[in-house]
Amino acid sequence: MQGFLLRRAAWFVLTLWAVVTSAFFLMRAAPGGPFSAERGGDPLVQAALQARYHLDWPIWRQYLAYVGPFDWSAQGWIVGDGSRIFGGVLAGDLGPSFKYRDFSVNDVLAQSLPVSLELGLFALFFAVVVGVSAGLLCALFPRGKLDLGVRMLATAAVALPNFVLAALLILVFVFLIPLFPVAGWGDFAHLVLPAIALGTPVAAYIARLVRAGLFDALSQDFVRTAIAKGMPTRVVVLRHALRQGLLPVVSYLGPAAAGILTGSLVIEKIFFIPGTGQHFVNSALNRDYTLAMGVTILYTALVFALNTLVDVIYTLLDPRIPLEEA
Amino acid sequence: MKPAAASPRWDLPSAPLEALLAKHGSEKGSSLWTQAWTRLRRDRAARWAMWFLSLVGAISLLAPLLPLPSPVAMHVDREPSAPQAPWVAPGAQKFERQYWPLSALDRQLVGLRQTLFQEWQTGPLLGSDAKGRDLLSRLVWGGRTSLAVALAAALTSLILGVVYGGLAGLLGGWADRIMMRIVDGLYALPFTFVVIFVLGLVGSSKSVAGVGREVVFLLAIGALYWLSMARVVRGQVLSLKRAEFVLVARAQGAGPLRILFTHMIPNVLAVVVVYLTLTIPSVMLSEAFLSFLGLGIEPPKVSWGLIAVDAIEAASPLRVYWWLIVFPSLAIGSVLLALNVLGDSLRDALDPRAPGRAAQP
Amino acid sequence: MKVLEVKNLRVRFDTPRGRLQAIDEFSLELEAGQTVALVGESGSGKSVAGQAILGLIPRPPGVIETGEVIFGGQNLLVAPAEQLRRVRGKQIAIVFQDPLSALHPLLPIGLQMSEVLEVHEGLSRREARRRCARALGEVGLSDPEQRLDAYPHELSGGMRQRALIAMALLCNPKVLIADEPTTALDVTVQVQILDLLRRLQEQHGTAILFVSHDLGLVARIADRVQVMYAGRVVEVADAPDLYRRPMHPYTLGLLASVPKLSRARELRLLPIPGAPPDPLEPLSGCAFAPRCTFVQKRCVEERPPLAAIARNVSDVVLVGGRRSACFERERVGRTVELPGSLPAGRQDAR
Repeated sequence: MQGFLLRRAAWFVLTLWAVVTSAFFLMRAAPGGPFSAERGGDPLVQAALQARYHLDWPIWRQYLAYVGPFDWSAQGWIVGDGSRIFGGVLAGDLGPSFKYRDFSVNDVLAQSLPVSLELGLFALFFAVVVGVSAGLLCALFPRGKLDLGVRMLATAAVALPNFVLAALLILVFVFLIPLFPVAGWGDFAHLVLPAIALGTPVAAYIARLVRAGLFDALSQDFVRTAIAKGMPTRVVVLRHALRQGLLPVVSYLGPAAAGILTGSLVIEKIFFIPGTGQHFVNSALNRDYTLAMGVTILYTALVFALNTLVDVIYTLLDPRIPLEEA
Repeated sequence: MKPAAASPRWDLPSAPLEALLAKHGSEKGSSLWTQAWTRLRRDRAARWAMWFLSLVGAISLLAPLLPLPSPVAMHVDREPSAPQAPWVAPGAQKFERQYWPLSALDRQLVGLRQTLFQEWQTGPLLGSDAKGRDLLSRLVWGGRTSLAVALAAALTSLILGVVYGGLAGLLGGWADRIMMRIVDGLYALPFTFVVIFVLGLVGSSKSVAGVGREVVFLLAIGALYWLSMARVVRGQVLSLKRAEFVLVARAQGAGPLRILFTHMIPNVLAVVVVYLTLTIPSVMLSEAFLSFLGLGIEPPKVSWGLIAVDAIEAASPLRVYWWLIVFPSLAIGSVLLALNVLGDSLRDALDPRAPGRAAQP
Repeated sequence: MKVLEVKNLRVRFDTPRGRLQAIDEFSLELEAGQTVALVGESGSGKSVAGQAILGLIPRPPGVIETGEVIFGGQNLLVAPAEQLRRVRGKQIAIVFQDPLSALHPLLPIGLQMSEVLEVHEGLSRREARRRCARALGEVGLSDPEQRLDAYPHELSGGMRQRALIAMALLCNPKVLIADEPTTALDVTVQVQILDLLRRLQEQHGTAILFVSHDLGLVARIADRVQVMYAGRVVEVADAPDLYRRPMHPYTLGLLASVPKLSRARELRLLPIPGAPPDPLEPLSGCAFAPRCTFVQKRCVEERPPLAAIARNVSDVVLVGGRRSACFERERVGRTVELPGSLPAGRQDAR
């Protein structure tokens, strides 16, 4: 296990470095800069800003200063609130935000990440609970009305974009039947609609997976053995069939979480939720280099960690798979 | 039990064989595609989906010809008007010829429409939006854009995937391993973020390195989905390389090109077609998604993603403009649903392993 | 004392390609402590018969047309589900052919075994584990305590099958159905498993229904043999009688086609020409007729019933009931007498 985790960590560092480097140079290569939008001010202001954030340095020097404490000059970057020298990513410091001038990227992320995490986790939880239950019911009563209904709903839910679903939810549950607040963040009521909108496509896919997985498991020889042993239906389904049938769902959790992350970009915008999603899109548009990089690093780390976690869980569940293959 | 037919089945050891031949010899073998087509035709859901999609496709193609109001003409002084049935508001001679820059063909078609219908246009059948633009017209034109982008992007991912995957499968060995390593690495990244990143960088500039902005958009979406296609194609090519019928063909002296074209391509094609049908809805979703974020199609051009943006921005608790949300949802949902249903049915129809179907040499 | 009786069982499968008659007029009598073998090639219906006894035939597409399975005074085919569930695993147990697929890949062996005791005898997990460890020891597995925590893929084929047998015998069932228990194993292991079954039978008094295609194996273990062909029983006899003097052409063909080391130089292998009939095409007359060297006109038109053999056939002493479904059985019986057909060390009569 240690060897596996160490190797994963090494891959992680490598991947992260590749992502940071390519993103860094990609951003600088694109036309426009973070301060070219400061029209209305005079070119002197622009120049001053550029100098303050060291955008006038040669690019390799900017890169090194960004990555770590490799800047030998005494100047360094001052972090947004003027309190300290920028230490570089390797020191865990993601730099000052170019757009939100009084904040460092770490601050921005620290504020917004918990919000997104809460939304994402709740959406995932919703998706798993609803998806597994629906799939289970379908597999137990196959080809009945319930099965057909759930399958149609699932196909529709996968087909519909999640922002369309969000719009419909708002229409029905905020305007027509005023049950929930329309936007903002604060208590549980604010969480429900966005989480449902985010989680439903995932739930639908999970329901399909569980249904197919259970069908397959129920036709396996070991289920026949369990029945031949006189095990009651409850045991056969819950202990024998479900364990095998849920394996594909565990594999799917990685992509599912990534999908929820992606979907949150839109959902947060619709419901005005102060998470990291909005920062990601806006920072790319605003050429807020450090914030964009910061969010990218964060997302890469999250997805990587999640995938590793899922791999570990899978090998714990299926003793036939050795850890190295995961 | 009825007595057996006249054939003397108890005679010689070869008699059973002759009897079998007499009974079954007149049956014709059928190819994978004819089998699949028959099966598809019998699938009711697939039939509905095909008809529906054909209808949508026809409407999209003929959009410039239809007597619809302009999708762009704004009347900001007016409030969004609710849908009105054709007998209440039967249309009027108020056509305003306003569009974004159209292609030459489209311009001619609009001209033709004016010749046919003069200045008549349909009434607000589906209502109008916050800027006074007719919703029906926007849905039709928006669908045209979305479908066109989806098809083009899907084709992009198809070409990328087939070439890359086919090459990897055919080359085999270390070339294949390296190529697949790259794919695995890219697969781990949430590509959408990369695409958003890139598109955000392109921003509102008209072109990047000489390539039009919309083309970049197309390529970006296509790039999202080629990975799965590449993997699938490579897997198929690899298994086909070792397939028995290929060995048989080679033993019979068929050259590699002949093997490729008569044997491999038809089998790979089946998988590719299924994947394509399932990729198009995903691509449409991505296009809507990205346009929604402001990274895709730009006004005044219209796509379904942009219509959704308008709908959500216009949402207010004071006046419920339900038509702005319901009709676009129906449009997007039904087209994507039809595509998914068709894709699923195609996959079932083309699957040679389902009971009653033979593998295809 | 009869412990299980099957009467006139007919099972068919309704498939998209047509109706498949899997078994037709299948009957069986099993006495306590006895081993009856069901012999036939693939497709003869022997596995279907064995599984039908416990109601393990999937109902669509399978259809039980007629028949009774009498056990403990009730007909299992029409017994309510809960009663059938209580018989399964506790009074009648079954061991399947492929131990790797028969066991759950994700659950340790110990759990798969102990749940039988927990459900049927209400034992606690700990007590059940102790019984299971003991059972594993009985079947010859070393380190039984360790094995309980092992997963199926961590054991060898022979060990898995022993574990399955142990699992089947946990509740001391009256009947054990062994559905080709050795087919998936190495030849050397096959004999070991067979000897294990015989030993356990002697210890526990279990009746065994041994389903197999391998006449050599059957000879080592069976008291009585029922030969099946195309879904029908074609011959029933005590094992020594069957092997010494078969009275059905199919049985004769089977025995002649089995290579025997002792007679390698004397006889050539005689395969039976032709192939079994297509189960989708119902036949009139004898199912074996197309391949039979004793065939007569009557065989094609009329179906020979599985009739008892009159006692005045030649000078062979008949022990117990003997039946054959062949019009020409006397001619067959006179054709060949196969001396020394049974393996050494077997009792000829019980």
